[in-house]
Amino acid sequence: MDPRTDEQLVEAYRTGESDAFRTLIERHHDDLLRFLIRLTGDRAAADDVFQETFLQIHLSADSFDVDRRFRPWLFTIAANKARDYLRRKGRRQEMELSAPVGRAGGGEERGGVQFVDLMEIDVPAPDAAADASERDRLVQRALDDLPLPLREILLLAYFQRLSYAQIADDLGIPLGTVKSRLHAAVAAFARKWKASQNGDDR
Amino acid sequence: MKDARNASADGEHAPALSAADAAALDALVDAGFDLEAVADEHRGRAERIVALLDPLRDAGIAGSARLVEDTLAHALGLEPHLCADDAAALDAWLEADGDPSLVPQAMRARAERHRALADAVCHCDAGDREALVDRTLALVQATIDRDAESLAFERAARRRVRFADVASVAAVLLIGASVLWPVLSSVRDQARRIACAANLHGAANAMSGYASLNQNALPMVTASYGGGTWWNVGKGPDRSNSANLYTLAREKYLSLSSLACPGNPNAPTVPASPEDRDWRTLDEVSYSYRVISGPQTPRWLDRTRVLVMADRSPVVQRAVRGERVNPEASTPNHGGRGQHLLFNDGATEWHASPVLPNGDNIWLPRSLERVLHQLSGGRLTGRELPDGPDDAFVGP
Repeated sequence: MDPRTDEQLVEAYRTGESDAFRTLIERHHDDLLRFLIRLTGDRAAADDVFQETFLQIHLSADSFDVDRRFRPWLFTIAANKARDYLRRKGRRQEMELSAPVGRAGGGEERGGVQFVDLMEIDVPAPDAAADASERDRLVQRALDDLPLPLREILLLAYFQRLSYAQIADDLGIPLGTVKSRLHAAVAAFARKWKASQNGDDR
Repeated sequence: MKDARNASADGEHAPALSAADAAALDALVDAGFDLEAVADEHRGRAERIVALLDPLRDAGIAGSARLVEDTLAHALGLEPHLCADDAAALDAWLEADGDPSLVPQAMRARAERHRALADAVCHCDAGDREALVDRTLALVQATIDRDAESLAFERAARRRVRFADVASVAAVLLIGASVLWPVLSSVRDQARRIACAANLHGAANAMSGYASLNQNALPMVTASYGGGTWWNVGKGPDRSNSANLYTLAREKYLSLSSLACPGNPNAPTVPASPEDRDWRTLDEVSYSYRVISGPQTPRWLDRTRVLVMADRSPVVQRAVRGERVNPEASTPNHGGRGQHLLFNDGATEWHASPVLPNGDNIWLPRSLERVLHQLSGGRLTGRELPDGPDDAFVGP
């Protein structure tokens, strides 16, 4: 395994070491592809966007500031490519206004606003799932129901486990917006997950 | 949950209302936001919409269906909310770089829940790694190859274009030069004419000075040319009329440069030798001078106005070489466009033609003019003299 950091590999690739690029792709393959599968909801599309993302990395390698971290850059480019893909697909998120209210449970309603309490939700546990592929399918369906901006920030946070400040920096949006958007994203996802667990869907 | 439709013509990513909610909103707007007036089938959804719109109504945006729908959908995108404990735990978990064990005990259980959710999302089958890595590298390589080909083509194109570029730039420069050349040429001619006119003014002052010391005589070193040839410049005062004019420079009434027209590239501006009494060759002479003819020679400030000096004669230059002359040609000093004339009253004038308004040709004596007039031809021999004091006739 190459002991060099991502940033050092980019630097090496820029100076003509083509193997460094393969190392970068292999190193981030699993996480990035999963991120894209979750974001696009389509494995074939994730494959395409994955390739487009690394092509963009190749094209922009010279402009990459090696004093910054590579992984957030990679995921931001991937998110942009996925957004372009979804736009090309003409996909538009729809909300079911009435559905979440008073059906999924796992929270309380105050003044017309639903509050989610994770302690009242059976969170998906990998080892407890009888069927991993079925769990994947349910998670994906819950994600697919999220509006894209929420899904995007949820996935960026989950896959990168970054601080709000880092996310705000990477996405170029105010820290307060990151925070409120991620809170909303987690709440919406948890509720949809809960709804899917109850079989209260589709 | 009912099936959410994904198809949309405009491809926006903003959340959109489901068809049922959109219909309910339309019904609500049509009813002027009066729930009582909304049809029963839409009533339930309309009630929820009104509840959600209450805070917005205060902001005065209710009433615009599109704006309400967008705002509502956006509001829905932010619903529901995490409870305060989960929100705090999420913040703490992320600040701990996703490690629940680093989160304060009180929040740890909830942080674990966050991690479980995240793990569920982040773990899915990533498929065959090598295959996708190879496809990605192949795509990048194909792009590199295509760019290289494209670059080679561009370079080749650039080489081809370079000649065209040079040619077009050259054409532009030529056109520019052809447009500017007459202008610049004209500017140069103008400058020469001005300098030349200044020379004649200087000559007028010098002649005035000479005349004041010589009984108003014009500069003269020979008394008469009775029968002699006067165009032999540099061959001695008795054989050269130009030696008379040179006297002004020799006797320091003016500098030799004042008798050098800028239009004559051969004109010396300093004497080749202080002993010189004349220019050395005809080509060096810039100005023709009244052919001095003894007692008949007019005087400076005389009652009779007569030509004293002019830009050099083209007629003499050709006649000396035995060539046919055009008596109506103008001096070569100014491109044949005309000549400066200095009269014995000190005035200088620019004349486009060597023929004065009274018909007198300044390059020829009147006798020859008459013959020419009769024969429409003839040759100047260098022996002719002015036909009288009033005959304008200048030699070298």
